[in-house]
Amino acid sequence: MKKQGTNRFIMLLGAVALIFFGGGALGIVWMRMEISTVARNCGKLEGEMEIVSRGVQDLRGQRSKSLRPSSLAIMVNGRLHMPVQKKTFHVSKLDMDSRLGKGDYQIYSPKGEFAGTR
Amino acid sequence: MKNIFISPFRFYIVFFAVTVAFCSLGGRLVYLQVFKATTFSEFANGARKNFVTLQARRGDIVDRKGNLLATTRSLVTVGVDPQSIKEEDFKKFDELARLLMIQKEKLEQAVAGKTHRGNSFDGEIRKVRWVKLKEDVEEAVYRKIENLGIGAVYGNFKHSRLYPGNRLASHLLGYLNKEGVATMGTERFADYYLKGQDGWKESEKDGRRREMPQHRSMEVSPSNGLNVELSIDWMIQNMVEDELANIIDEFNPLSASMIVSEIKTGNILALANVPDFDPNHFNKFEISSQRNRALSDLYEPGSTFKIVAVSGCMNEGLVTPKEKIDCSVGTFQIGARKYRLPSDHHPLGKISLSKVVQKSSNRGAAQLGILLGSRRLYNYCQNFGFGRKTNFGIGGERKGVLHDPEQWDGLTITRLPMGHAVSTTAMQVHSAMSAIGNGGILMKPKFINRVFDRYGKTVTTFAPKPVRRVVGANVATSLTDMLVSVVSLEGTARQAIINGYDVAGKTGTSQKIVNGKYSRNHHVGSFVGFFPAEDPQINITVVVDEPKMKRGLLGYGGVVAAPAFKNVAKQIISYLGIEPKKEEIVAKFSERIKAI
Repeated sequence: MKKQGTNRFIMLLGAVALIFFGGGALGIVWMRMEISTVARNCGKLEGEMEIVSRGVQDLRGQRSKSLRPSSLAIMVNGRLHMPVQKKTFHVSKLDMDSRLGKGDYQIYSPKGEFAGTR
Repeated sequence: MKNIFISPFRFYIVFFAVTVAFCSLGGRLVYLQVFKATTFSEFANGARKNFVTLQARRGDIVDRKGNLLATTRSLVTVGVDPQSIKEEDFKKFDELARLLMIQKEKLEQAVAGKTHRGNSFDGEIRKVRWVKLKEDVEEAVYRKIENLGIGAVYGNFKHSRLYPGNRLASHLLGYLNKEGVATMGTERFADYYLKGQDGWKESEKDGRRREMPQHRSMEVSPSNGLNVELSIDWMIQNMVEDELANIIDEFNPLSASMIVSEIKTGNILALANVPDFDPNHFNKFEISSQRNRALSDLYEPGSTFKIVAVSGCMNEGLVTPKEKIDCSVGTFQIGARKYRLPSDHHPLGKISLSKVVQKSSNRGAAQLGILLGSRRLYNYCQNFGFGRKTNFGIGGERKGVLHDPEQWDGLTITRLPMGHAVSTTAMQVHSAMSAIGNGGILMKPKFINRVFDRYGKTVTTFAPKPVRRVVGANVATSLTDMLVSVVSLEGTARQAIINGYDVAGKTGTSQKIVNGKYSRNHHVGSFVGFFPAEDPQINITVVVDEPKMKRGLLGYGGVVAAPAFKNVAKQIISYLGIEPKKEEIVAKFSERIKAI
């Protein structure tokens, strides 16, 4: 009777151990698979980010190409030129302050993408 | 125990066979895992390990307003693996050839050669796994090629430099050669800041050579290069290059150079030479067109050099602006020594020092040189920066030729003050004239403002650098007044007059030495001047080498260079909003009021 009880206990222990270790092993495999999937997705996103960043660089180059002074001059068929002296009027800082308010006049000047960053 | 189903003999046979089979398997395992372990693990690691260099992106070069002058983009080198080509892929070759803009025959040829013989040592036949089809394919085109679904055709990305302005400021920017090595210009000078630091990653790859990110073991991110802000302004650079194109059209010279700078800081706003080149296609241009002639080409400066002797004499207190100098005499005697003087184009008689400058008298300048003496004259030349590099930093700069007085012959003391017996670069003459405009202080010419990171934050600045005081401020002011009279109706630079502005400048015309003697047909015409004279801001130098003139005309600096100065100066005045003289402003407003 006592032997039968011991056997049952051993079998139960075995079953629990099997469930625990087997489940743990399966869990580890599942986790590794999940990690792999996430890593793969991250790699894919990295690749896409790289493509977008390359695209941005390419666009910056194209934009700069289109905005260079000679390109703009060609677009308006040579009609783009500096204003002649007769048509130039110099405005004092005092005038600017009174009409536009004291502030940063940089916004009125032509600039590239890094202008004003220091 | 007796087996009732099989005989013991059979049992032992089977037992023995199974044991032998397992033992041989075990033996093989021991052989592979113990004896050959190192070899096979190395092989496996080699096949599986994926070590990738992550290229750092080279920094941008921008002008002083942040306009992009040089940037980095990615291009693709497209190739084909002849081993992986499939029968159905041949149908797509027409479209592939169209996208790559190559002949279809080239594609067929590329996939035809599936093997090649190895090097001359082993002569082994090897499989061809990669044949290059086309370099520098844009990514958008590559994506279309990918969509064709030809597995054997794939590309490798590489960084490529793009110069959006094409020829704009090519000599200042320089370029990267095909190996990605910075060869000249800013690219080379600021390579340390621009290039960045490559990164790397170590992971594993699958059977199709694709990276398995889940097995990434090490990763060091690349550190992208910093950006460089130049002092040039692409609008002014464009004005200068347009004007040089006009000079080429009108005079067809061997070459021409133009420099524009800020007087007080030495900042170069524009620097251009013709012939020039497009750094995007540098290999399609002659190597001579890549020379930054403003810094590397030497010429005799002629009369622009007279500022040295004149300012030197005034600085030493030997003459005053009103002092009369006899330009009618052919010789000049000091003590027992008699010097033969060079001739003037027109007889000038006895004229003041101011007139000597205004009329560009050779005799007057020669007498000033004699008064100054050889050693002092030499020292002033050196202090103005002649015979020394300006240390501009790029352009294969040369220091020019200025001999020590001990090596001078009897004529040098009378010829050097008028800009003969000396060779200079355009940049040296430009700097010397800037020193006059800057109250006698020579500034180091500079073309970089700062180095900044991707957010625009400054990492390093390049501050203006005074080199030395050359002459006193009062001398510089007096000479400026004399130079203003040069750009007047009585002076030699009538064509540089700008209404409403006082321009101080000096023309120069020198004969070139051809076959060992001065030629009457080969000249270098130049003009260097600054404005507004009362508060100098901008200095412009124009040098035209061997202009082709109409019959009977000479390539005087006042004819070939001064108009170019004027054209550019007028545009710069409008662009930078430089105010005219006060009375001009008043006159203009009263005119307008009258019109109303």
